[in-house]
Amino acid sequence: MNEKTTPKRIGVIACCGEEIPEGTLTRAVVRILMEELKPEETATICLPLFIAGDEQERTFAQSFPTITLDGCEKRCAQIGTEKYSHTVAWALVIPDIIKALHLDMKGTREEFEPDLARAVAEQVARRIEELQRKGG
Amino acid sequence: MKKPVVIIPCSGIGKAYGTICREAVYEVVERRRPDKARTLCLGLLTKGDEEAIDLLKESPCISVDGCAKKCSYKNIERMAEKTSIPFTIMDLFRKHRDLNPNDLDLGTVLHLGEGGKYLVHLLADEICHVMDRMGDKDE
Repeated sequence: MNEKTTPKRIGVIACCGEEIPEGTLTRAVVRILMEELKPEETATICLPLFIAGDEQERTFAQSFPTITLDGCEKRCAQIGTEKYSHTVAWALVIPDIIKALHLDMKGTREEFEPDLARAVAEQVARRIEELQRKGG
Repeated sequence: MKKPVVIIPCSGIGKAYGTICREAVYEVVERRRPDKARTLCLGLLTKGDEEAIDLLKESPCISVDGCAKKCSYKNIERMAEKTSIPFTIMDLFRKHRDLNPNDLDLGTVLHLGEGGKYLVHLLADEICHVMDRMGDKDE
């Protein structure tokens, strides 16, 4: 593998959906990636900064190959990122990941369930590794 | 029946202040004023969801922001063309001069410390106070 083409950091943008438990879970997953699983390889940005921020913020998905993590099929993170920044490398949705893991959604919008957050974060970490292998 | 106040916290994911805003909003909409307030996903505005924008256009709005970027306030302003009643963590510290963020155990984005939880309650107090004044004006 050519190291020059291996992106050091992969962007992961959570929808953070305030209304639903899955939104709170997306937020926990990104923090677990950043703090525990892939601290040197993950970058993130607050999704609403694409509107509140400036041009620098809107180059995020151009600067980093980006995975979006949405809590529901409205796909706010994916659509917002693609509208204001760049096409995403992967668009993941929490119910799909949970279904693939044969798990049930747990937690509330106030409190995420740590084991579930960890299991989902490990799945996203695999996608990060896959993107790195592909060179972004 | 009057429309519930829509209270939207920022989606701040980099610092504990984002979590403080988020939890303060849940404190208000879940426990303190559940019949008078609701929240809405801020991402829906960034996406440009028409249903969310229509809801904001016809409801009183409060934004709660954890940093100077004011994502909640600006998304409401730009997408719904509406001025929300703004709350920020910075204003909370300006109002409560006895509080020094460096002396508080804010905790992390995922797990607030005692100081962070204290700010959640203080911020919820402030939001409820303003909501009650809004109600008085309407009566």
